[in-house]
Amino acid sequence: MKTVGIIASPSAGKDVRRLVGHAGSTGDVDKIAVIRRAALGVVESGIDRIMFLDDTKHLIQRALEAIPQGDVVMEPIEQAVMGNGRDSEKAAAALEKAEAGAVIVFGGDGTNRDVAKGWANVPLVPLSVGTNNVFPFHMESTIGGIAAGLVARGEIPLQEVAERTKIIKVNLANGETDLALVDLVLVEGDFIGSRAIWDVSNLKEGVFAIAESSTVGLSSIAATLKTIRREDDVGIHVEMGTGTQTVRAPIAPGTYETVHIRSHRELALGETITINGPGVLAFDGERDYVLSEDQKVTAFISREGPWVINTQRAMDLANMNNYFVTST
Amino acid sequence: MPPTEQTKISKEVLFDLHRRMVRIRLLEEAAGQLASEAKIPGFIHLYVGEEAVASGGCVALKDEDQISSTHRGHGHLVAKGGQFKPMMAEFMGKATGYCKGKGGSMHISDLDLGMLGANGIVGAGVPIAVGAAFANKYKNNGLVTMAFFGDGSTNIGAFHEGANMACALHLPIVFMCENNEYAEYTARDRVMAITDVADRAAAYGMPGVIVDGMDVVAVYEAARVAVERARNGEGPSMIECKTYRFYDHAGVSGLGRTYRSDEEVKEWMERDPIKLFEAQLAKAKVMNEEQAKEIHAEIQAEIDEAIEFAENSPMPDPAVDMLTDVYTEAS
Amino acid sequence: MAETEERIIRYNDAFKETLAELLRDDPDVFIAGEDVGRYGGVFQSFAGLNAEFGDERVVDTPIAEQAIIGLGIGAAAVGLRPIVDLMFMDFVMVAMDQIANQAAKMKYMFGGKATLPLTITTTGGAGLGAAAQHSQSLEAWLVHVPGLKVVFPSNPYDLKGLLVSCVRDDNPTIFTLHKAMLGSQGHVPEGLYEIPLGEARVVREGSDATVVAIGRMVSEAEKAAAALAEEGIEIEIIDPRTLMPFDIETVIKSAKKTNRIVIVHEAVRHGGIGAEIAAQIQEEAFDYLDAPIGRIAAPFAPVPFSPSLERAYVPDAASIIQGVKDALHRNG
Repeated sequence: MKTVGIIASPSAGKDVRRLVGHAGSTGDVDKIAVIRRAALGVVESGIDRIMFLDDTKHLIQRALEAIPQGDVVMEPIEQAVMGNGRDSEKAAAALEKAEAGAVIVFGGDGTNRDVAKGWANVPLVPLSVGTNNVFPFHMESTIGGIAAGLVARGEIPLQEVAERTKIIKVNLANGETDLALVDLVLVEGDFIGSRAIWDVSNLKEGVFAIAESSTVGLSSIAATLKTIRREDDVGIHVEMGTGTQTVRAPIAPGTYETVHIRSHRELALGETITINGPGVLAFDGERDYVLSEDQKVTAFISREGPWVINTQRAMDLANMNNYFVTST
Repeated sequence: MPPTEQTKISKEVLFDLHRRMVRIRLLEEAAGQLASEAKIPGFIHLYVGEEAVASGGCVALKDEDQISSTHRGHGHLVAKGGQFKPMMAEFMGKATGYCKGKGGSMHISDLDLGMLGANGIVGAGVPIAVGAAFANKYKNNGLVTMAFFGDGSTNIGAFHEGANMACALHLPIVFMCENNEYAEYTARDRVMAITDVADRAAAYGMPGVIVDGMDVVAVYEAARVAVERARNGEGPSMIECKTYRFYDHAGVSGLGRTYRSDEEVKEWMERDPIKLFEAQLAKAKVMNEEQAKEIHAEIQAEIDEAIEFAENSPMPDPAVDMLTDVYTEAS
Repeated sequence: MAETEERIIRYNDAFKETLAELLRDDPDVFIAGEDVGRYGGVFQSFAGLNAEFGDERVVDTPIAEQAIIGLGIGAAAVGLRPIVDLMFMDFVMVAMDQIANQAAKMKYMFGGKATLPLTITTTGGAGLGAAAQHSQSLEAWLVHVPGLKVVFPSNPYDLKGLLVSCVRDDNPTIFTLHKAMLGSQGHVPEGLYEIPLGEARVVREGSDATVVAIGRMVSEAEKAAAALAEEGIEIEIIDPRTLMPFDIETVIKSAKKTNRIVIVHEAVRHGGIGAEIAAQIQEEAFDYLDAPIGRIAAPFAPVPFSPSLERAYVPDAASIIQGVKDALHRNG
């Protein structure tokens, strides 16, 4: 059964960054409309089945209710939902089991990270409904939907239109592992709190897999020092604190800050960095793991992340093959 | 926007957050016990489970700032500096209470603490908070008003009127939503087509954010930024705290109900805001288990003293007190 | 206040002038309400105030009666002296929770700690073809709530003195203009003066019967008195001016003198303020009464729209004359 998976974060686009930065607000009515447009694109592709995470708010359920579904089977993933990131992780694992041909993720960097944790080499169309996201695309979801559908049906070969992304693999103090898609940053403090980071004087060091000059967030700090593209087989390690340099970087939407840089250096894939506590580790811009004084983690960048589908390339290929043209 | 210093929170503030939460919890547990023994008359709406919201919110305020409250108002008063003796006396309807026994649990207040009153009418505190915020702007005194309200109140007209007016007049106010998922005994999703009250903020023209209302640091961080915004003349904002009521709407039971499942209650209780915070404080080596216990014991002793004070206090005298305080007499 | 010469101005202008003088007198006074700012109020009762005192002190609000009253309560509770306007008295019901559950009870519920120097201004009464939702007189609803003061001036002079007292009073007061009297004229001194709340005015002395008249009914009673005088009947007219607190002593004194009482108000008779006044009179002066206490008031129907119905609905001099004669004819 040719299947497209859909996962949406019920909490994306609503965190404290609306107060501390100038991030936009994404209400659920908007989210449902965005998901619905993507679903219509998927249905148009002629797929057999949409499997979706029925989140605590039933965002996808509500998006699917209002559309003509044709012969497409709409199937909620059977799992208990808890209302946190584990839901997306478990859903991704279930989609892997169901051999979904593509997964559309609505959320920010955080949601995509959860999905990557559940299914390491997930074929992914990441659509942004979050905040200052680096990883997902800011694009029209109708097209994201049909591109995912065409790949999942095998009309367009995944290998031709997808790139395997880098991830930052993290070995935690307690022996467990975790990952970040864009950056792993240590900040001073003892609490996860409201998760976001807006006081750059607390930044200690960071590992960046992506540092592009066109994005906002913590990775923009690294980007001022060296551009690291998604396709580059390197990363960068930056130590913040009083040193010889300062940089101005857009650490949040509309928010430029001066950051003191002590040092920075390029990281090869697989090169291990040790990060020592105390502090709080932020994964992709969100505080998530408290390190006490005597704890440390190790991290390295690898190209073992999701297969991100280049929707532009996929659609170009479809059009080149006259996929949508019928002779009369 | 001036970035507020963040993530590094002083030990003093951490202890303050902790103390206020424990003060609320222990007072509420004692009040619940007394109510079940019929030593407290009338209705009692306990704040147990939601301590992080009032504490995180009020620690972000100055003493002179004002708050408005709800029918579940004990926690707000404690967080704003309310003292146990006059509170306990008020619960029991004694003449030594904050309101001389005329208000009781549901109307407990102390304007000297900037507490504009617990309120028996859902949503009614919001327009009053707007009025206080108007006065702050009018007097240019740099003060901020924080309106506490529940998810249920956001369905009533007074809330909409107040939120709109506050934004239209660009007032120094923070709308602090305690979304505990139930309007009295009815689940939110039975009476609202949206999940997040914060989604409503944009409709009035203010930013709305969601924080974990069981994590006092998350609440405090967001409240600090919102309060700072208000104080700087940047207008209203809304913080929706996702929280939970461990007991029923009224009284001290919470389990074996038709309107919510015991599993759900127990799941939320595992995220007890005080236990969560004490674990965080221990990990950060700010406060160990023993110190926490001492603080609990010290506060419990203060409560026991307050109960004794209240029990030994006189009832108001109908012949003397019935007709006083209806009007302010001309001086 | 000594006046060498009478200064005749309109009732509506007396209101506006008083507001301006109050705003000049006390920086803690501000005005808020629907259309009161740039436009000057639907009856132009606030015209020019926004231009003189600015948006901060003469505030246009949303159409949101609960929030308007709440704005007043909150501001009063933390030290200002707000004047908030409900465009029509009928809108009292829209804001009734804030008025009756919040403003009126706050002081008592808080054990005396709250002081609410709040004035709610509004326009009541019929006569303009405004129909059922813009013509009511709801004083009886308000006097039933402990904690409120209720004021209903019948002439420009009283309007000013009573409004000043309301604004300077430390309690929530509801001050009702009669919208059919806005153009009426009378003597009003310049400058602020107070008429104490709770003091009735004996409008006209007489010996044959007492007419207790409220609001615009005072002028109708005066017309009735002139007509009755031609027939040799001299009535005493009492204008309570404030309905809470109510000056029952002045009414009782008159009852003991004339022994016949007719009460006239615009609100419906059933459950109207007249019933309360009558009850108090019989408690205090039962043995002095020579006839049942008469009540001239509106029939038990909403205020109708059609001029023919509305004219018949509202009491007037003719119905007062009839009421007085009925009281007189019950002799023996």
